Amino acid sequence: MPRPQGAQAPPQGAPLAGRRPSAPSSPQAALRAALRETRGGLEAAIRARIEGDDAPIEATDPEYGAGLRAAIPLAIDYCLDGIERGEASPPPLPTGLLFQARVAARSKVPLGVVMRRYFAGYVLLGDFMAREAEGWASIEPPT
Amino acid sequence: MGLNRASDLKRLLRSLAATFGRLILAVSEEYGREVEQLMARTSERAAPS
Repeated sequence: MPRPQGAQAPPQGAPLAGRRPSAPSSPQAALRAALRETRGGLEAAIRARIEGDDAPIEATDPEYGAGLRAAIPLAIDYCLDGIERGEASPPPLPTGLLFQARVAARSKVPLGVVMRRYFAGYVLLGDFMAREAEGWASIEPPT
Repeated sequence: MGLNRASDLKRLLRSLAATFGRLILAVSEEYGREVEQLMARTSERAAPS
C-alpha cells in the first residue's frame, strides 16, 4: 500500500497550558484538561502516523482495520488513566486492546508492526506532554 | 515552585512510561497466546487421524 499523502504532523500551537481558562488543581488534571481541548488533533495525528506506515491497514480480516481505528482512543484513555492514577494504582487493561491484539495475530499482521504502531502513539502522546510542559515556565532553566 | 513543577513532570513521565510499558507487554503477550493457539489448531488439523 502506498504511503498516503498529507500525513499529519502533531497539532502545533502555543503551549497548551496557556490556553486554559482556569488552572486545574494537579498536573494530572491539567494534562486531562489540555487533552480535552486537543483530543481530536492527537487522535488524528496518531491515525495519520499509522496510516502513513508501510504496513497495510486492511488485513485479511476486515475486522482488523475497524478494530485498529477503534483502538486509538482506547489506548489514549488507558495511558491518561494510568497517568492520573499513578503507578501504585494502575487502571485495568482495556479488553478491546487485548482483543485487537488477537485479531492482529489472526490477520497475520506481524507483531513488529503492532508494536511499531503502539510506539508511534506513545511518541505522539509524549510529544503532547512535552508541549504541555512548555507552559510550565518554572521548569525552564534561568536565562 | 520550579522544583515542584520539575518533579511533577518527572512523575507524569514516569507514570506514562509505566502505563505504556504495561500495555505493550500485555498486548504482545496476548498476541503470542493467539499465535500459540493458531499453531496448536494447525497442528491438530495436520495430524493424521
